[in-house]
Amino acid sequence: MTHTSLEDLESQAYQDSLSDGLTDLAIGLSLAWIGIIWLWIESLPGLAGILPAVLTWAVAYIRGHILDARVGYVRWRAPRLSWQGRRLVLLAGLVMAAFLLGNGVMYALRQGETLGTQGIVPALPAFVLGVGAFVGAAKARLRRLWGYGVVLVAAAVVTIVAEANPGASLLVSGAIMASIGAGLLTRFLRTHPVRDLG
Amino acid sequence: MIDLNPVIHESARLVLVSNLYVVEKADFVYLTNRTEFTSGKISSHMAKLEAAGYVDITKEFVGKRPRTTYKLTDTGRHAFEQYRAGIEGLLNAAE
Repeated sequence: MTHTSLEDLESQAYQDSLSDGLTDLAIGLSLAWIGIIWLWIESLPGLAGILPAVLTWAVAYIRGHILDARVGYVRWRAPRLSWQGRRLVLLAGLVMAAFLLGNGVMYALRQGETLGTQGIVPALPAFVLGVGAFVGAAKARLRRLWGYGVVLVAAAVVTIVAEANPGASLLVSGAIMASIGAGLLTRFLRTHPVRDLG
Repeated sequence: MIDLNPVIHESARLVLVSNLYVVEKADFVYLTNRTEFTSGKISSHMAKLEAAGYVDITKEFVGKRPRTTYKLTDTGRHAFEQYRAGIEGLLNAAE
């Protein structure tokens, strides 16, 4: 492997640390869960936050107890941790924006408004997240994120054409993301045996 | 005459120090994966870096498994930066 600078060396190591698919699986499941809440349990929107919270803990646990023994433990330097923190805040903000947009649509529909079903409003949650994926792909140089962005924007377009509930686009996009994450994680566990910790 | 630090100049140690320089700290498995060096090679070179005061080595248990973690010291970071400056000066002089 050839690195042209120390920055490239660090960047490649960071990208490799995300190649196990665990983050994709967790975010995909979270989006699918939010979609399910919108589609079938819309009277209890507070439930939407439960699975993402549980998965946040689960990701840290699995990484510390299962993945570190296979790929090694690394603590990144302060600039990378700061960058990572800003990305997490951005992601949380996007998910929150998508959730609020979706709830706004559902509220409007309950009030008898037709704007939500005829216009682009129901597609906004998936569209907002899709744009976020594109920005993340450009910043983190993670090619998978381009694909997720395309899936989310395509789901937004289908939502407009099919006049669907905003939850449907998130459910489908999240399921695709989670499936890819599960596939990556399975391959990772198969190809990275537990190593002696030294 | 540019004096390159012989402790860092050795190729395997240069790879190890470079990998440690871009992170805060990392364990043995991480370095094995990044460098594809054997465990004996990593251990012996890390012992030399530790003797020079360039690396802190911490041994702990994660559950029932031992884990060895390496961290470049401030002295090690400074030595690596000086080494980089020396190499750059050498290459610039050769142009």
